[in-house]
Amino acid sequence: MIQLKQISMLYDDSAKRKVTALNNVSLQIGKSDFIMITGPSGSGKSTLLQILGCISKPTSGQYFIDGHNVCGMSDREIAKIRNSKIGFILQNFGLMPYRSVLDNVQIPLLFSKNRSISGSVDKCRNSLKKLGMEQLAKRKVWELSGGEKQRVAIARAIVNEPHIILADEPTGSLDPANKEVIMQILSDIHEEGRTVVMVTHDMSLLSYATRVVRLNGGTLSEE
Amino acid sequence: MLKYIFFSLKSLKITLRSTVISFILILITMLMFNSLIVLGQDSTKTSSAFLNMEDVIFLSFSHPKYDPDDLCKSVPNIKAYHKISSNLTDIDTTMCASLYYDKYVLQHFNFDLKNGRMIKDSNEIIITSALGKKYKVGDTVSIMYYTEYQEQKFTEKTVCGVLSNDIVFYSSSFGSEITASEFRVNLDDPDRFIIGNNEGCGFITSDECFENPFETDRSIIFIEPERSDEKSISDLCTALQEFGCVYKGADLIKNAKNNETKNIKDYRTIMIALAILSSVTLFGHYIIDVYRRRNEFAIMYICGAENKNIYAIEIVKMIALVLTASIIGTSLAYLLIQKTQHMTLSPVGISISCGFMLVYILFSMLALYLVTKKEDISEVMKGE
Repeated sequence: MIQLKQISMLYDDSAKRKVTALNNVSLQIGKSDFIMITGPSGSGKSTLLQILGCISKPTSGQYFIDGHNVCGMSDREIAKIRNSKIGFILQNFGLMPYRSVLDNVQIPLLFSKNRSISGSVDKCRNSLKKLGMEQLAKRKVWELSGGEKQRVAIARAIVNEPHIILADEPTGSLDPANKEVIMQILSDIHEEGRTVVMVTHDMSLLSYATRVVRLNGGTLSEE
Repeated sequence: MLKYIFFSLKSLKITLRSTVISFILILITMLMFNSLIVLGQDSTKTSSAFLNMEDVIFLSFSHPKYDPDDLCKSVPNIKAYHKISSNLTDIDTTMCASLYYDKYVLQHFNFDLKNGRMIKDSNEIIITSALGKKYKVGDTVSIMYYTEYQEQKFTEKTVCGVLSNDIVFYSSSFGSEITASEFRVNLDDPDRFIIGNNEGCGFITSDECFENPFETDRSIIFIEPERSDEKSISDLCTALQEFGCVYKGADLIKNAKNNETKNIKDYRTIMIALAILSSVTLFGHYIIDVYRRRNEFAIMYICGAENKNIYAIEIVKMIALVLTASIIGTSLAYLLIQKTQHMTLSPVGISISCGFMLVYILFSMLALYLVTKKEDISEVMKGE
C-alpha cells in the first residue's frame, strides 16, 4: 500500500550547511499495519512522517501510495491524496482555536469534491459521535481540554474516511489518562482496517503497534 | 464554492476584532476618497447660472446724495443699465436671499431649462435642479415673503420649468458685498423678476404678486458691456469709486470660487492625509493578519487544500467585507457632502471606489501569496 524506495532528505541548516535528515530510507507499509516510528530527537522521524503525509517532497528516492508514484505527481494530485487518503494527527493538535469543534472537523470536507453542506455536517457529527464528542460540536476549540482537543483532531483525521492515519507524537502533550484514551482510539481505528503510522518517543506505547521501526541519524532499522 | 462562502463568512464573525478594524479602515478610506472627488468637482466645475457674467460690471454704492440712475444717465454711451434689489423669501421652508432683477439682467444668466418652459404668467415659477428633486412641473410651491412693513405673507406658484442648474449663483459670489446689504428696488420697472438663491434651492419667478419691499439707500447697478462704450464704463467706474464699490463679474466669480475653495483646500489636505493613513494602515493590518494566521493556512494545507483553495476562501471573505464597507462609506460620503454641497453621485467616484476595492483585493492577495509561498508548512506545524 505504501512503499518508500531509497528516500533521502537533505536540507540547509541556519549556517547554510547541508544536513541529512533521511538517508536512503526504504520502507513498505501494509494495509493493516500499525507502525510506530521511534528514535532520538533529530533522527528524522517527523521528516519521514511529512514525506509519508505528502507535505514535503524527498530530495531523492521514490514514494508510492497504492502503486502510484507520489514524487511524479502535480501539486493538485498531491493535495487530492492528502485530502482523501491521509488523515493527520499532530502533537499540538493543529486546530483552529477560535472556530467551533464542528468547523474544525469539517475542514477536510471543504476541499473534498462532491460533498454537499448538509452531507458534510452529517459526516462531521458521525465522526464526533464515534469519539464521544458530539455534545461538544458547537463549543470553541480553545474551551476544550488537551484530551478533548486531540479527540477533535482525530475526528478531523477520520472524517473523510482516509486509509492512512499519520500521527506525530499524538500523546506528547497529554496526561497518562488521556494518553490511554487516545491510544485506545487509535487502536480502534486500526482495527477498523486503517493503516496507522505513529511517531513516538514513549516506549510504553510500543505495545499497541504491530511493527516498530527505529530511526537513528536518518537511517531506518526494524525492531 | 458554497462551502467556501459559508466558511469565509464565518471567518469574518470569528475574527470579529480584525473584521471591525478592517471595516472601519475601509469605511474611512472610501469616505475620504469620495469626499475628495466630490469636493474636487465642486471647486473645478459648477452648474451655477451666474457663470456667464464674467464681462458684466456691477456697481454698488450707498451715497445718500447721489441717485445712481442720475449718475448713469449723466455718462454718455452707457446705453443699458439695470438695477438689482434684494429681499428675503422662504421657499420650501428654506430662507433664500432673493434678488430683484429686470428682464434684461435675467438674459445674462446662464439658465438652462431641463424640463418645462420659461415663465409666462405671474403665478408661475422656475425652480433649480436641487429643488427639482422634490417638485416637478405642474406642482405648487409655497413662498413666504415680507412686505415693506415686515408683515409675513404667503403666495403660491405653479412650477412651469426645472433648470438643469444646481444653483443660481455661488453662495459666496456676492458674499457680504451684496446679499447682506439692502438694495433699492427699481419701482419704475414694471417687468421685474425675483431670483431666490440658497444652497440647496433656488427659483425664478415674476415679482408681480409680491408686495413691494421697502426701499433702501443702497443700490447695485448692472451694466451691459456689449451695449455700452468701454471707455464710458471705465469713466463711470472711476467716478463712482469714491461712493461705493465697483465689481467686475470675472472678479466676483473668481472671488466666489476662491471663497468656496478656501475651506475645501483645508479639508482636502486633511482628507488626503486620512485617506493615505487609512489605506496604509489597512494594508499593514492585512499583512499582519495574514502572517498571524499562517498556522491556519498550514492546517488547511495538510487537510488537502491547494493554495488556490486558500486564496478563494480569502477572496470571498475580502469581497464581502470590502463591498459592504465601500457601499456604506461611499453612500455616507455623498450623504454628508449633499447636506452642504448638494452634489450628485459621480460616476468618477463610483469608478474610484471600484478601483480601490480591486487594488485592495489584489494587494491583499499578493501579501497572502508571499506568506503562503515563503512559509514552509512543516516548519509552521512544528512551531505551533
